[in-house]
Amino acid sequence: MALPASSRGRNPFALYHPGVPAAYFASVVILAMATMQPVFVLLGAAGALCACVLVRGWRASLRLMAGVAGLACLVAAANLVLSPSGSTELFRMGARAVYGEALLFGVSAGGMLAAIVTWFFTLDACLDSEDMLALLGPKMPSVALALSQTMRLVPQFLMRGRWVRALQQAATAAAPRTRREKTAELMRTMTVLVGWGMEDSLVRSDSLKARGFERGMRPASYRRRGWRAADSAVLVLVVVLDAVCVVCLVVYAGPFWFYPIAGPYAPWWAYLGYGLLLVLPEVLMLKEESLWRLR
Amino acid sequence: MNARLAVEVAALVATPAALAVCAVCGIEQAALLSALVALASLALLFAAWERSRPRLRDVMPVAVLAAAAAAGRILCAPLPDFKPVSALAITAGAVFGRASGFMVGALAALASNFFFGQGAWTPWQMYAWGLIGYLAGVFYQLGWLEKTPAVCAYGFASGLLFGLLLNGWSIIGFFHPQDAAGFVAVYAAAFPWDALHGVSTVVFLLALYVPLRRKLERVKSKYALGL
Amino acid sequence: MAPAVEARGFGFSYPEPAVNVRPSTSAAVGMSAPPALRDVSFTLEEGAFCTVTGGTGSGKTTLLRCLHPDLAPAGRRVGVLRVAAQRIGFVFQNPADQIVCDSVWHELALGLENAGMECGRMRRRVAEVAHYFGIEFLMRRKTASLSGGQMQLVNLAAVVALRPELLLLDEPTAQLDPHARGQFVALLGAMNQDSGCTVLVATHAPEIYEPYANAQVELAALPPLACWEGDGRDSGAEPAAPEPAALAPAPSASPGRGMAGQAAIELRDAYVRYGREDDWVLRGADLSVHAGSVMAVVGGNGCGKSTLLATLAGVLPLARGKIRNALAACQALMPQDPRALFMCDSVSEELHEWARRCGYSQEEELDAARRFGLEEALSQHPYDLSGGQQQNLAFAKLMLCRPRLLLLDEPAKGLDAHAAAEMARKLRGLAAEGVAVVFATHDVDFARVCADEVAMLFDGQVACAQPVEAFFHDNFIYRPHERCRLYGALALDSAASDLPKAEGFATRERRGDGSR
Repeated sequence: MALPASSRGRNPFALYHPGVPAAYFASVVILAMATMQPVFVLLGAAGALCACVLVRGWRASLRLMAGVAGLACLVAAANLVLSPSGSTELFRMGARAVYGEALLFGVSAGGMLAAIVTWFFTLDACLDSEDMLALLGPKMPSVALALSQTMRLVPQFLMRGRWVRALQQAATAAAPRTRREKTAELMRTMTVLVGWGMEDSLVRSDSLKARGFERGMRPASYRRRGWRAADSAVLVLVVVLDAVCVVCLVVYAGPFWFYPIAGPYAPWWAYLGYGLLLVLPEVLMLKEESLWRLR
Repeated sequence: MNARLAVEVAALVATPAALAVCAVCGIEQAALLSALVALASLALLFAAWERSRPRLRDVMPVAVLAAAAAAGRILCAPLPDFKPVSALAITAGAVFGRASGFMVGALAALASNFFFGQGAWTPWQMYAWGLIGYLAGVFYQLGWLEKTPAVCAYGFASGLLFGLLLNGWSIIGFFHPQDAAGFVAVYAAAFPWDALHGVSTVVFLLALYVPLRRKLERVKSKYALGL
Repeated sequence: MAPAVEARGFGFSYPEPAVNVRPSTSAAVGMSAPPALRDVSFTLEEGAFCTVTGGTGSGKTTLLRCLHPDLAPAGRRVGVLRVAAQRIGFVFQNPADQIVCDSVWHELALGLENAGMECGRMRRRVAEVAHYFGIEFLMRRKTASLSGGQMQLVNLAAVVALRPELLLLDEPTAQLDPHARGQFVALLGAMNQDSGCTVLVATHAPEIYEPYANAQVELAALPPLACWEGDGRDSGAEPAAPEPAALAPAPSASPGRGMAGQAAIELRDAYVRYGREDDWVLRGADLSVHAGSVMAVVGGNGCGKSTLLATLAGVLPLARGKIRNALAACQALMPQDPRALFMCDSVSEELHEWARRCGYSQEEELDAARRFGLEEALSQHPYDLSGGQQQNLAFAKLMLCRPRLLLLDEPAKGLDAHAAAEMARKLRGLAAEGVAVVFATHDVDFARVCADEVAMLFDGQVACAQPVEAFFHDNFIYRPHERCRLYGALALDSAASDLPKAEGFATRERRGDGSR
């Protein structure tokens, strides 16, 4: 379940406009998906893990790792079996040869998946529905209104659903007894929730009409936090690092392919840009921590 | 009107087309490209809805149905692949039109993922459920969804469609199958779950479609009177 | 200077065959509709604070809606209704139903965004209004987590942020507890005085606006404020039962109540909470309920009254403690919001819904409909009924199960004096038939009129449970009003009615003598 902002642990982007983490996470996710070169994938996965530990804490990260590791192994195994090409034969499975390149490919694919899942897990703690509305709001006000209302209604429906079922059970003479009646009652509850929700949406639309909703356009947006120089600085940094990474990827990871022999690998300084991008959350966090430590 | 339809169709078709192209051409960055195309088509469809200047009578029912679908998905979380979202998106598409059907599916996915945690699959879930709602609206306009058996058939098919899109992305993006046999093999492994999803959608439709339609039509006429 | 609002011989009728568009309004529907408003005339100056009074069905909501151009219902108008204001605000009755957005700041800013205001000006208006209504600390909260009183304040603030010249409120405090009500009224009055905005409030209890109101429009007569006559049990200053016994919780303190001695429900040392991470709501609560008696559970907002009722109903599990419910096989729980019980699309279907499981016949359904005043409305949709009718429908539906234990959550909420008096009579009638009745309420007057025993919930425990007169005699601050419309309504109705209606009270008087 998504945690409320206050108990979310540490968000290195808390001081910045939501556009900054949106841009950062978009870049790292895209870069993680952009290549299968094993070293890049390894770096990406490691960076994702560090960011996850930073933002979500050790326990949650370990739990996630357990799940992700299983998924990654599955992907690796499937690729191992499905890829019939390569040159370094490891062993034979019946008539089919299993190659080292296929194993490497599988591990890369698994690592890529792990990185993506971990990044999203981290992103979830840094960007919540409020931030998404802040990003959407000015451009798409109707969509923002619909989303805002949906987010407001979901907890209300959950509570109402529980209450409606409790009432049905409390009227013991009329309560459902058999399994079939219970399932029918569950379905009835959904119908009741939708009907009730629609009826009081009429009052809500009156409330909106009374505030002038139907009259005209909605060109304005209440920006809770504006875009300032500090946000621009971090965004520029992210964009520059992105550009460097893209260049390195195209030049050095482009020609890489697994079959028949895995190679060519890139020189060490090609990974620098990516590495710097990956440690950005840690740097931002360090910057804030140093305020408190040095006192 | 026609231009809008053309844009919608183009955006909807682009995503599976991109997926297919990536698979056939064996592009390395299949996961990335197809996800970007999915996001772009979602953005385009949202913008199209926004551009149509939806009135309160369009926005409010979408919010309520999306919230009900999200709440249903959260409540059914312990049961795997047993989700009411498709059923509600289909009903929304039938009663309120294809655009609303799309929005209900997409917003339900987005809103429930704020509770479950966002994942890389979010744009795909939004797209898939949105597509299910959209097609329901189209089929209803064509008159194919009047009888219950037809609705149930579509419900079951929607479960398979959902699985096709989501598993398709996972497979093409991460497994890079060298040939069609590989693709089919992995997809077949996931088939039971998709069938279960389809069956659960049928169950929900059988229970909910008729009573919900009645309630929704009633509120629709109330909104029409009120404005 | 032109008056802010002027009405001369104004009348309004809803269109005849159409479905009643607004659920909270009156007027018989489906038949030839009598006029909802007839010959209303009044004039209001700018800056006036006017109460529009009348019971349910007197047309208050219709009048207010006709004043707002965006909300005016379709129908036939007669006479003149002139409003000088350009900007008009409207606050509805149910706090939660009006809130649109996910968070408080967005709710406040929404109307300003609609108006296309520049960002700096918006920020200033929101700041001003949040500060004035004292809701700054709520700004970052989710609206779903607010209490009813806080929600209604947010609604008022959101409307006032638009700087309306005329503010219309449709029974804004009907759904609030007394504390929240006092706060809301004080802020409303202060706002009216500070900003000079004309305020028009529809209410069935104008006495709460007395300190601020300087005009009144009466659409229908309300029962008069009267003192509590008592019913033979009130023996002056001394409580009948000896003090030490009355302090002990439960059975021994109530001689001659229903089935003497053995309690129908015993709750001992109950510890209840909603989720593993949540706070305990009940911490060692004890309660005993007897058949044939009415127990009122009172307490502050959020103290756990609803939780206690749910525990008695067996819906919530006890983490610790025991509950023995002899009447568990035939009980019913009536919620605060009667809409939680509505499953069907018409009143008759609704009443029929449990027929198979409970085994009641068609005649019983019609009889119930007649007893609860719903025989005209059998083909209507439950959501088209008025608030009072919805409550009656929920009550009728539950009564058809023939419960021996009836639990009610805020039965008098939102009801005007007549309806509350009617509810009190029904509950007494049920107790006279041997049903155990437990209800939770904020309304201390209603508890005094209706209950045999009162239990006060505080800090997760039942602080005390005593016979009603002893309870109120013992309290220093938490006492019923001297005069109130509920007493007046009861006096009026029992004077005018024949014996069967007043039977509950007649029985009660007999019991007060000690004979049974």
